[in-house]
Amino acid sequence: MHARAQDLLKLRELPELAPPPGVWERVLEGVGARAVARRLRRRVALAASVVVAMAAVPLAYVLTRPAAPPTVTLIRLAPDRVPWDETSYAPLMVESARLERVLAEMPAPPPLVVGTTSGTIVGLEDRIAYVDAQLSYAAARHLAPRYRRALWGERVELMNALVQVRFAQTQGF
Amino acid sequence: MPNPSPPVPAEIVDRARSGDRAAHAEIYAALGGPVFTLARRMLASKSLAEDVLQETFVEVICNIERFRGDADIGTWIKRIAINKCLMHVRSSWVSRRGPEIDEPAAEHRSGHVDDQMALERALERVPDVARAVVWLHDVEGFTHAEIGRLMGRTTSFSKSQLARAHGRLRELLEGTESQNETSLCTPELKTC
Repeated sequence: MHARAQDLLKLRELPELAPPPGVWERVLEGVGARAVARRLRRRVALAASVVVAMAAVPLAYVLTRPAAPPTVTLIRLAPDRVPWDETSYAPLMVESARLERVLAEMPAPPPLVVGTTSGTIVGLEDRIAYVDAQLSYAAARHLAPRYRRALWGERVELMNALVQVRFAQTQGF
Repeated sequence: MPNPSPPVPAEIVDRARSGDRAAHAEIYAALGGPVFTLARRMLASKSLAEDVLQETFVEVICNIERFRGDADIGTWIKRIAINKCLMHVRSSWVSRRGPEIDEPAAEHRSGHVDDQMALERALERVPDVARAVVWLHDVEGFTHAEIGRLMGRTTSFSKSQLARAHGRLRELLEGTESQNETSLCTPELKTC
């Protein structure tokens, strides 16, 4: 091997080079810039989390809000309160009106509802509408009070069921 | 085994980890030279080596609290610098440029000045990847397996690049250079 080729073995002996002047100052600037960028990222992340939290609070409230306890005490099955009278349907009308008010005072349904619950409510409302149509027909035709009482009784039962389902809906079922 | 770096007292490392800027400066004073030398030899470019030196110590200071101390801090810092050098070596810009012959640092030369200058210049004319391999193997003490892993290649790749670098250095030092190998390097084919 040529003598100069022996220098291949002397790579380790090459002198160490001194860092050029000014690099340390640039290092400090770079560290400072990163610190600023890191703080900025943290602030942006914090702001984003606040925004998300602010958006999540109403959503969580809607999804998890408890039903007003008084609502539970207001719900009564009609047969318990309505005296049995084959000819008078006035108490049923009163009870039906009370249940309408209970229903009207219930909180609005959450934006996301269970499909089966929603279907049950629609089914009950359809049946109530059908009973109302029959009641209108009975009034127009002056049908027997017993027949009207039966219709009002059915309406009260349907309204009771609807209130129960709507109450369950507010509980997140 | 990797080439050991100048020792840095554990007390300084501890201070640095707690954010002591003076300790950071002491670590730079101790290891800035070895890191710059490593980068300059691997990249054969003063400007790129400066960039690597700067980027390495920015990263070191920003992440030193994560340094667990189970390895020598010099080894840890050199690893960071090597990764940054290899990023440059892999970049198309480095592969496409010709050898950047910087003026040797004359203040460090004495005794075998001519030999050392010749060796430095020869090293700078070795293709980028082969130069990085020969420095990592012959000076930093990495094994072929370690170099292969660092470069995302095989052990055989490291061996072949080392043989290529040695051959090229012999040609250059013996004055038997027959052609400019740099002109044969095509980044697209990753031959350099």
